[in-house]
Amino acid sequence: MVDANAEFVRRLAEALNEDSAAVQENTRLADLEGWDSVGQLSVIALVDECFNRRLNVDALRKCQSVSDLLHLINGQSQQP
Amino acid sequence: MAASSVKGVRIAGVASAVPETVLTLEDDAKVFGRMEIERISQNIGVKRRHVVREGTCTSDLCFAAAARLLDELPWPRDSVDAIIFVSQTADYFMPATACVLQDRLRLARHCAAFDVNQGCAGYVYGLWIGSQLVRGGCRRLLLLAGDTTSRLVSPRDRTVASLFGDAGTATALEVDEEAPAMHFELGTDGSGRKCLMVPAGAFRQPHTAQSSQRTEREGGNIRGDEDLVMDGGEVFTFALREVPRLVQTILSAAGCGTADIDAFVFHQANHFMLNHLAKRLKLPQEKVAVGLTDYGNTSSASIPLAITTELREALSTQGRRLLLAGFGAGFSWAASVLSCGPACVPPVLVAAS
Repeated sequence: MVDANAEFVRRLAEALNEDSAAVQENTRLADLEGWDSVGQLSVIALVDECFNRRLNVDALRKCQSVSDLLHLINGQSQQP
Repeated sequence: MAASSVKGVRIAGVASAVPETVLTLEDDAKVFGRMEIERISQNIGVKRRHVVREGTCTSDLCFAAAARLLDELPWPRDSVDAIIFVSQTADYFMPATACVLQDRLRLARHCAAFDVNQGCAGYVYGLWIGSQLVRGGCRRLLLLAGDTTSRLVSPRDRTVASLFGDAGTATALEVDEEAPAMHFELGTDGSGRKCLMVPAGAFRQPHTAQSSQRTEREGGNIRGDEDLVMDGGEVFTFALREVPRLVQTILSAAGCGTADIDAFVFHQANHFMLNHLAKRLKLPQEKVAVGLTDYGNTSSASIPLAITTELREALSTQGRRLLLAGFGAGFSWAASVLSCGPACVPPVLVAAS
């Protein structure tokens, strides 16, 4: 799962149009210019592609940091 | 989900009309700023769209498309037994716009006429209903599908302003005992109705001075309760949940695989959505019709408009097996696998408006 997370964080930077160095697990999403409604669509698509999961959109919007996002994805992927 | 198949019905023609006024990214940049608009348009893939002037209705565009089709087809007007108007932008609360069009198109008095309130799934809904009617005794039927969504959106709401265009289409269905089966699959999740709606102005929340006031909402977007509101994230998630499943189900109902389909014509929601669905379904890019760059998301017109712009040459001379899938407001979804062509498919008409 660690590798999957690292890969996701790398692709998250791409999806949000940010430098890979700017997106780490502890990055606050509000600090990223790409984290707007368009960026959130890219994240929904990325999670669908990488994890075959449809994120709860409300929960996604409440995420404060990249690590919240990972918790949300991993929490959801444990559900059947 | 409702599944059905209908034999012995042929698509004789498809025509599409758009209004002459064109809005471009330059126009949007004046409202939202260039950076913002470039970012949005990169994602949604719309470069320009045709929009009506005040006073022009969906029915005017559908009329132009239907008149053209009737000019080209060897159909006496009194052989048309039914006309269906599929739209979310009708002329009036009452009567049905189909009645207005029966008169304007000079169709016979024995012609049945009614409206269907459906948006992005509406074209496939119309084919489903229309084919059943033809099977049930209508000799010929006109299916008019279109929307003037530009009239429903606030020009200062960046979530929708640069996405929607206007168009009206006409599709001709007739009895043909030789025609292969059309397969349909439809479904609904009304719990998603608030994610894509015009909340006020009808009867649940009637028009008031306040409901027509535009105010600043989330993300700095300005709109009123009588404007279309769209939660893009929820709509996208809905589409990712339902559309791949819908496509698999209709393929198995039709007893075929993706390789047996010549062209996939999805509702032209936005480029990002079409790309993602194609990738998710592992469809070859050249088989997925993309026709929204110059027209935007035209709601119930988007599938027949994409057929006109992307498949006109192929369908004019030969038969093609198509998979059509519409999805949107409701939430509603509908898909069909059908054969079309050779058929009368004139080029897109630009209607004076």
